Amino acid sequence: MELTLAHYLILSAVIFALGMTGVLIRKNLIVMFMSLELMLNAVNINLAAFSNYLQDMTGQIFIVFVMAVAAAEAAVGLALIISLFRNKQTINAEELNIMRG
Amino acid sequence: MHLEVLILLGPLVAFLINGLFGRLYIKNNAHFVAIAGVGLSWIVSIITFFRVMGGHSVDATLYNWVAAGKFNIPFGILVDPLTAIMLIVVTTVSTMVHIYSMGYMHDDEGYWRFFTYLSIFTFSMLILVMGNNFLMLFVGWELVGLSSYLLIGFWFYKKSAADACKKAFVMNRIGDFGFYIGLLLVIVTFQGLNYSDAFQYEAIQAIKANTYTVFGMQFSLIDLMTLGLFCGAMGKSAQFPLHTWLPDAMEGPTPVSALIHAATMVTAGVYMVARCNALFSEAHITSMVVVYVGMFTAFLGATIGLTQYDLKRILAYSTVSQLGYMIMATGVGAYVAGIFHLFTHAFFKGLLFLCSGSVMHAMHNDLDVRKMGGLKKKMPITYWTYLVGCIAIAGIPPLAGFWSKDEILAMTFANGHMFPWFVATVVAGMTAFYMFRSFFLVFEGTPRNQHMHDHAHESPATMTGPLVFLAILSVLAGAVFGYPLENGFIHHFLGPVLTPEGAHPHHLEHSTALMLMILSIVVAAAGIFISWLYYIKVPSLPGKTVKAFKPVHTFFYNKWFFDELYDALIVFPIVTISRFLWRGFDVNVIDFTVNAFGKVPMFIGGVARHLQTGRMQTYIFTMVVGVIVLFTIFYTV
Repeated sequence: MELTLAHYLILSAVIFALGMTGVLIRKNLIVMFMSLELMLNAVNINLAAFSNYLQDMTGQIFIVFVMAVAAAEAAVGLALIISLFRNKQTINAEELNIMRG
Repeated sequence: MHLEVLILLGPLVAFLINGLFGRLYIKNNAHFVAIAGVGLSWIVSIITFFRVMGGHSVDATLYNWVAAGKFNIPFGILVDPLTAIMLIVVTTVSTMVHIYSMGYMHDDEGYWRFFTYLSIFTFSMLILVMGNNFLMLFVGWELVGLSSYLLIGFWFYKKSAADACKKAFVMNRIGDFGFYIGLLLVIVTFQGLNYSDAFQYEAIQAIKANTYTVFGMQFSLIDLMTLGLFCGAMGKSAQFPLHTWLPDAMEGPTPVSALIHAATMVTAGVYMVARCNALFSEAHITSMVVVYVGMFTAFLGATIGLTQYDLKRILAYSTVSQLGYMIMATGVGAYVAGIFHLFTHAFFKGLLFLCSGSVMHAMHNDLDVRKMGGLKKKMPITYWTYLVGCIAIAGIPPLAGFWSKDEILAMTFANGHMFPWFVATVVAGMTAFYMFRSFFLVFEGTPRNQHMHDHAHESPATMTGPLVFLAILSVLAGAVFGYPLENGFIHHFLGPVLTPEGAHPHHLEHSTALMLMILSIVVAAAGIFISWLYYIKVPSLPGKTVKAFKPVHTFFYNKWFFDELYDALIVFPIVTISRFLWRGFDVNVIDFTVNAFGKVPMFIGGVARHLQTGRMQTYIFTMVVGVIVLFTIFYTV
């Protein structure tokens, strides 16, 4: 069986949906964070698939950008989570609602 | 450069030095600066007086203050006989009060402040009398009002003093409103503010025929103008119905009462009317108003003075009464007599007030004459000088008051004002009575409060010195300037400036004048005799008289209920209306509207705030739903 563009796109969509579900329903910030990474990488698959399909390197270059941003985001995000935990003794998203109106 | 400018500069420089450096550096040496300033003025004033006697006069513009197109307001000085007399009065009394204050205000924490205010007052009063145009008169007028306010409220931590200075200011403001109108009419009519523009005989005759109907009555332009100006005089010179501030002004330190509220500032109204004699003599309605206001004020002051127990209040009402005399004199056209009385009154009333300050000093600031008595032995200098003041004001020859007061009475009679003359003669008797009443109660008899009497003592030399000096002037000033009657030095001196063109001065037959003179002496002597009878010979008489005329006494004792009347007619309605406007209109209408504009967004916000839960997953969920909705819309349509 030949792997067509559609396969890649479906894989990407499934992973993206999983990631989004994770972000929406999990309460642990670390897990939400990992789900977010999952969403970013789903997009990467999408970019790679189209790059190959269209024979255009632009998509792959963008993958490098996305990975760089993801790495930076991981560093900052984890630091924020650690700082938050030190102050609040929790990383449960449910309990972090001091911005309630 | 005119020599007379120094008169203004002395107190001004003293004011600046004391005002700027007094609190930190000069402190209790402030009197050196102030006395140097006023002393310079005094000396130059005396020199000026003699130069004016020799025919010297100045009407010069020092610089142009306001220049707006054709309209100019110069800052100029005018020195003529009238100014020269006023300069002598102001600087002499002011210098004496400065010296007296060294003793009287000793130990006061506001010592430097007191002298600063005295300097600014002296400067303002000199501006008032030396200006050569109406605006400078007005500037001086307002400045003396300000310094009076500051000095009445000198002990501002006392509520009574703080209230009194506000009252003085507000009452003067009412009069000044009329003064503004008068000034504006002068500017519009004469196209200028200089006295020399306004007092031209031809110019006045030219507008004499202009009449206006106000409130259904015909007034000539000059009447309206002078009525406006006279309103200012009523405020400043404490004439009925604006007289109520002057007795309250006694809350200020006694030297201030002597200087401002007896000798100088309160006579500004008389000075102004005399200065504007060219206008006032052509204003027939105003002249009538002036005569009767003056007459009534003289009577009013005297009746209240009869019943008071506070020494300074007796003197204050006596001042009101004497100012009434002066105003009445200017009303009948006897400007020289008015200014002459101003001149003599300044010395003996200043003296009487300073004596009362000396008594106050001895009695530990108690002024109730019922607690005094028998101070003759304890304070001989104050006793003798007070006696001189009393005889002078009562009008016994040859002391000062006799000459000027008799002249006012004679001139009123000569000009055919019989009723005012009669009232003024009665008032003269009353004046003699109540002045000697205070004298007997304070100095003669036996002490009524032994404890206070034991602690009484004569005042220091800085205080008694001015008393003696003023007493000498009170004895001499009248005869030296006023003898012979109607033809004395002062008449020749002031006559040229105070005889309006076109006026026909009335003169009395020699025998009539003599009769009137004898009558006024008899009335004064009778007043003194009754006073002696009441307070020395038969001390039970006053009580009996009060019982017999209970309602009248209550009426006079409560100052004709003027304060209560004004409270009921003016203060109460204003307070009631203000309260209604505050509680009713301001709170319920204006605040309500403004608050409503604030409450609508608050309500909307109150509903909308529930959208912000603070949970990020809700936000993300909303975003996801939003994105899905947008995609659905864009890809299906």
